[in-house]
Amino acid sequence: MPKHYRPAGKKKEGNAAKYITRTKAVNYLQVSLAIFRKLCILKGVFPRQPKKKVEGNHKTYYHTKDIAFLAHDPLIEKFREIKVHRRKVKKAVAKKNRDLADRLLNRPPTYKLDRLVLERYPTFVDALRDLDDCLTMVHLFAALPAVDGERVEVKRIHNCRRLSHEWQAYISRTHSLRKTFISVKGIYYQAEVQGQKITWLTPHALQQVLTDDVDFNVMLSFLEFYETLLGFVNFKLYHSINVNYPPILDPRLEALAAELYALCRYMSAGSRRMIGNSQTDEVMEDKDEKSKAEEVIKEEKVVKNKASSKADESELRLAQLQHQLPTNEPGALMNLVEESTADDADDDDTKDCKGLFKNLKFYLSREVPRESLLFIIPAFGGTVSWEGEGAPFKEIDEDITHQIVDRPTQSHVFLSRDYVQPQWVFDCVNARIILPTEGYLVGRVPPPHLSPFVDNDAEGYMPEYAETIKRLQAAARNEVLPLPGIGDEDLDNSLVAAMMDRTASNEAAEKKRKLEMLEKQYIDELKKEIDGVAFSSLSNKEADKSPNAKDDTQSDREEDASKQEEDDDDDIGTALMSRKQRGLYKAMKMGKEKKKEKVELLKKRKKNADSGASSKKRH
Amino acid sequence: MGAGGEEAPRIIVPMAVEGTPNQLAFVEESKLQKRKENVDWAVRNRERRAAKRQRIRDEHKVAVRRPEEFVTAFRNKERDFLRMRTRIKVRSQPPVEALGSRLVFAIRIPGSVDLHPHIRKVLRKLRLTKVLTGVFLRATELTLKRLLVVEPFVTYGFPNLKSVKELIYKKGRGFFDMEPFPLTSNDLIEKALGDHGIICLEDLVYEIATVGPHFREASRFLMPFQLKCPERRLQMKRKPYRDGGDSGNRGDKVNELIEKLN
Repeated sequence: MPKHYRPAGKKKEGNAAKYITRTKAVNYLQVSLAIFRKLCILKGVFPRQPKKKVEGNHKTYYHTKDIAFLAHDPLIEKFREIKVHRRKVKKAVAKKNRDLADRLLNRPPTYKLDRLVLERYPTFVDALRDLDDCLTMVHLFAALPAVDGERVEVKRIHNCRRLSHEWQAYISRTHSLRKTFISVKGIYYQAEVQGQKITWLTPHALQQVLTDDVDFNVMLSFLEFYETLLGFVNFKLYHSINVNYPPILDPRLEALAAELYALCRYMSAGSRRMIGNSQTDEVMEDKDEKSKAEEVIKEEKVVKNKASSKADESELRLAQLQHQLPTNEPGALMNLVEESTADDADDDDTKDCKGLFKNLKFYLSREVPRESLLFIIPAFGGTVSWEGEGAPFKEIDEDITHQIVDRPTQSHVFLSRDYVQPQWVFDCVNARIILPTEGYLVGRVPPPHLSPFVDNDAEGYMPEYAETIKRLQAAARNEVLPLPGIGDEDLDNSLVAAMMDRTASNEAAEKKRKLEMLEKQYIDELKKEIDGVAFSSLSNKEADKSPNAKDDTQSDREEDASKQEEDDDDDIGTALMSRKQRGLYKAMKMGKEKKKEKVELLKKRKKNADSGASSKKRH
Repeated sequence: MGAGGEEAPRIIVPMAVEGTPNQLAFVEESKLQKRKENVDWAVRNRERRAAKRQRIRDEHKVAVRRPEEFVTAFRNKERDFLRMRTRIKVRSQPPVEALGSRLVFAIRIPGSVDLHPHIRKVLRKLRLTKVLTGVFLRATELTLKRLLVVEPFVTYGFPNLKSVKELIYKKGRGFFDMEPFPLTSNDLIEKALGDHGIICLEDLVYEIATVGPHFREASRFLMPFQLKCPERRLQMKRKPYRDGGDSGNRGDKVNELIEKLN
């Protein structure tokens, strides 16, 4: 470690002074390796790669200033306290001093990571940029079971579940969701919050199995920091839309496994109450809240005295807790849509997303992934319900426009609604239009689910369904803009003209080819007729052979000439380049060739699939 | 400064045959060693844990037992049996229709290991042979009577939809072809219970939560749920819950216990 003075010849200089190995760092900090790892994760310290590895290639190097940074953190002392406390408890248990052990366990040393969040992310936008890994980890642990073998605590899993639901409720409320994709690993979402694109992965709503080859200690250290970070982010985001944080949920909806819906109702009630308030009203409301809390306490005592709690009293208590939350009436979520129309400060993207499923009413069958669709459909302005108690409306409601079904057969069919598979919702979200439902009806194989994260133009390969969606988008744009402005008109016209030009040129080229083929056939037939009429069979054979040979030689000569011209052009181009530029050009060519090969492979697969499908149809 | 520094040995990239400039695809040896080390560590870790469990079991087996232990165990069994008989005779059961729900979730709580054979048999009928395991039961007179028989060793109550859903989604294990399976896909559920109209996990939750016509098959398909021991071991008392203990009927409070253990 750095010394203040050393005589010449005995100093450490260069990489030897700048970098330190992991073993020496652990020894310097006087902590165990596990605690060192945890500290590095929490403080964001990671190994470096010095150009000159002084003590060998096989070692892990840290920057000396990073280790000094760790040494001055209060957490390191706190971790030592925790270790000592654990040892005391173990000793008390070993000496069968149960009272002392209980006393020690009742007062464990605790620490908070709030300071670390503020230290690592000085501004809010920095935190939003780093939120991808945080959200993915929190959503993963929300779906994991609490198993005895691992150190995954029950309280932690419930906290992750709460945080993930709060985040989803905010995204749904502000209509910030932009892209969704169902993959084998889970469901990808992309949202745009304050200008930052945030992408995260949610596991499928099935059981997760913990494997042996994953080190959960490292993941739990990351999770510890990410929980705190997401709590801070949720706090700031909720206050930016005038909603109190943490939210108070309706216990009845919570008991019915509808936390996301309860959060949506809380947010709508909270925003409605908060919008029309001034500062003095807020002060008054604070006093009212205190008095209401006292009343709630009194009522609880009365209820205990009565030894029986009625539904009315519980509802009254709920109303006071929720500050006059509206009752659970059918169409309660319509308030969300009405309120959302009042906001005018949204950007164009949010307006598009807000109006996609507007005036549509969805009903989810039992087998569809409910939490995912409850998150997506309100985020795009739709109203949604499901089977079971606590739902805003029932299946027999006549206003339902779409029912999401994923079962081979349907028992009862209402004629006034479309029965579509869940993929329709995801594809509509990615295309930003209401897609036709014929391809997604119950019992059919839906169209391919395309990834919204792939840029087809850059890839050079446009799937067939993507072209269909593009055409539908163009048609929808024409419908959406009946009286477009001058700029929009020019853009639309130019786009349409470009499309027309491309299609026209393609058709013209095809026609030219056909005409050339027809001309060749005509000429050959004329020659055969002339020869047939004039000469005998032997002369006919000889005559046929000789022009073919001539044509072959001519075509060969032409091909050689064209190849020579192309090679000459390439040589002229590369002759003027330097060696470095020539190498770069070669690398670019190789990259393009690889991409072309990939596209050819996709096309070949598509041909095989089509031929397979056609053969099946024949059978 | 005369020593200087040794240069790092450069990695010699393997070339294709006949000296063409294309290099073969390769992975560094250190990375391959690391992968192998990870796999070996996983195997060693699993074996070490199994050996630890076996060692603990062996230590308990080999312990010397004195005659007082046998006498105490016998007396405890007899006392439990007599209390059970008195409980059945004296306690009046409320009718099934008066209960708040038709779904019961029973949890085996930590207690004595000295069980009377009759009580042990009833616990096996309820599939509660291990501590901190739970099963879903339909609230019938027979079930309630059985729960009354084993009251000091079991706590039960009426779970809500959230508890049912979380238990099945996180801790559910299907029993199919004489083997337990985690419910990681709907195909297994459809194979096992498709004849009864249950084709996915949510159907299973619905059947259990609403005590549908195929509740028995669905409940039998689910193995007993292994609940997690909390951080501070519960001080489980054998007195009934309404008398300040932890056993017996908890009513709706079983949801709090499930949330603590799941």
